[in-house]
Amino acid sequence: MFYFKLGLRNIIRNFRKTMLTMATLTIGMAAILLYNGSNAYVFGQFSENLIRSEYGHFQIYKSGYLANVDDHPYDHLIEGYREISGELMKIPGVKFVAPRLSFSGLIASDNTSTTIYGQAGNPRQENKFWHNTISNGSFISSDDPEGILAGKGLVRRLSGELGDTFTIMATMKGKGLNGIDVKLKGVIDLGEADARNKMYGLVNLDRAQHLLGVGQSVDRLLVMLDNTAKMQKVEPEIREICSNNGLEYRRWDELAVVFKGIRDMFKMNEYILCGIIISILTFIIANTMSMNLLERMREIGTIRALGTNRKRVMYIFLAESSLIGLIGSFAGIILGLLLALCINLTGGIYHGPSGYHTFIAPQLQGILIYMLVFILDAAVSALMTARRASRMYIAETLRYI
Amino acid sequence: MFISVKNVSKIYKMDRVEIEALKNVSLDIEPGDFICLMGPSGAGKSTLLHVIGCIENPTQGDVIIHGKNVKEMNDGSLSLFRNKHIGFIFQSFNLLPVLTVYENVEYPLMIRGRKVDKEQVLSVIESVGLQDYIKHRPDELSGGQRQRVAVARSIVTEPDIIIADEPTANLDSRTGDLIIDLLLKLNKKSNTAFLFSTHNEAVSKYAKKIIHILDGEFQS
Repeated sequence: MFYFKLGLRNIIRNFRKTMLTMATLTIGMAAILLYNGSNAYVFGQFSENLIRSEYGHFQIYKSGYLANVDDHPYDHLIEGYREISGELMKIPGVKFVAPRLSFSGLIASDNTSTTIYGQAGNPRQENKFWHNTISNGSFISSDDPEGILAGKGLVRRLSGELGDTFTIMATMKGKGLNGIDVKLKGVIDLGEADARNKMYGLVNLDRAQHLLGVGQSVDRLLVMLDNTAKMQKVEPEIREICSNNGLEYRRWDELAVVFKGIRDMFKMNEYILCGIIISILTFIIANTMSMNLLERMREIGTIRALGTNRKRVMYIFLAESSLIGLIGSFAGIILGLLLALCINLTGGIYHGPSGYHTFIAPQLQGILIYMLVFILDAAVSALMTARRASRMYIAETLRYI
Repeated sequence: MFISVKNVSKIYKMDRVEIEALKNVSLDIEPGDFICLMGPSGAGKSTLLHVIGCIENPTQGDVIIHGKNVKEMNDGSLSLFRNKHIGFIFQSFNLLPVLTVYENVEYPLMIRGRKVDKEQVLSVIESVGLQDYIKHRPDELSGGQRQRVAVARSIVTEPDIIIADEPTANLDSRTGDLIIDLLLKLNKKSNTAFLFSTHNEAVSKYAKKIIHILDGEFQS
């Protein structure tokens, strides 16, 4: 504690000299806070979008389903999914459980046919995933079991219009073809870049179960929570239910591979930025501490003569540089938060014609980790000077003018 | 005898030139001694004080304190040894500028890592007459007051010997006399040995024993 007191007083005494170092730290910390906060906002929005439109928070499968889905898609289905859904619904935080059955096959209109990547589910629950993407018509409902919701590209390929009837043909579980008629209820637009736009179709679960001859089975259950922050708390209970029922599960972020790749890339950019700032800081702090040593040669000689051992002399320098790190990075957090507040209050960062605005969502955990990194860097930067100070000849330092 | 300097020589190497600062000097110091080391600048006074104060190793010869040869100690044990047995007073006071009077005096006890007896520190500060200045920083004190803080700092650990390198050189003659007077009183009271250097004849009159040194050699 004494060394920190000594360090703090030395910083105050030499405030003008250490101000430049601290200002660099402050600006660096603020820059990282803003970048980290901006990424957190973008990926927070992105991830919520993916969870609520596609993946749910967790997906549950029969054990072995994921390993065999390409060769034997119907050999590992969940039977009696209603009981398992009931068990899952008892977990606090689970909002709803959506059963799904995927299939692929041919879809044909009067004029043409094309491939379809189909999904089947409970319309009331699926509506919560897809309602934002409907560009034309309405959502399918349980009252109209023949309804299909199709991707805009698929509808274009079939030259279809709302109310048209199509035929879907698919291979049944017991080998053999089966077909059902579906009526176009609505069109969803997932964007031209999304390959699913040209192939996707959503039908009622019981229609798909009939088409595939799988009885009451489904291939997955999507578990949606009322809050993404509860994932960690809920996961152990989901794991237990899965292990008791011969099931396996995946978190949404394990399934969203592209998202993960982009997020990792941005994280890497953040580390590179942090690395550059830290490299600059290392040189500046090392230089400041080195200058400090020259000005305090006699002081070092005196405390050594009074009986301070080498280790304690090192502590004095390390404590002082750590304090520079602490004060500078803390000031950086304040500056960063103020800038974030200003940006958020003035409508965020505008991204041109897309009309998209980025806000800053400062992340406490991330900030504290970076703060710790800055403090450690400050201490490490002073290590050589501290070592030099501790190993100087006492008599020489006392003679130093 | 508790300090014995035996045939000590000190040679400094400056580039290719060798300077012999001490030439085969020997000295015994007893408890309660009040020794004045006199000589002009460059005579070797400070070097001898540094060697006896265990902050510089002799090139040749031995310094034996309490039966221990200083040469045989490593840096850690030597630091502890200095802290326990030796007090220092410097010409330029050498107080830590960011610490108060109390903290400067407390410092040698504090680095022992044990709880410091506040009463002991305050009583030492009182003994040098600075009880009203305990919260002052060195830059708020006069030269004489600063040197009194340095004296308090040197005696707070109750060392066997106090080494003072020209303690009055940066003070006016009246203040210098007061400091020497203070050292004499402490010497009488505690039986601590004092070894101080000066090139001021007026100061040396207080010493019980005067050693003249010139070009690294004692003058008879």
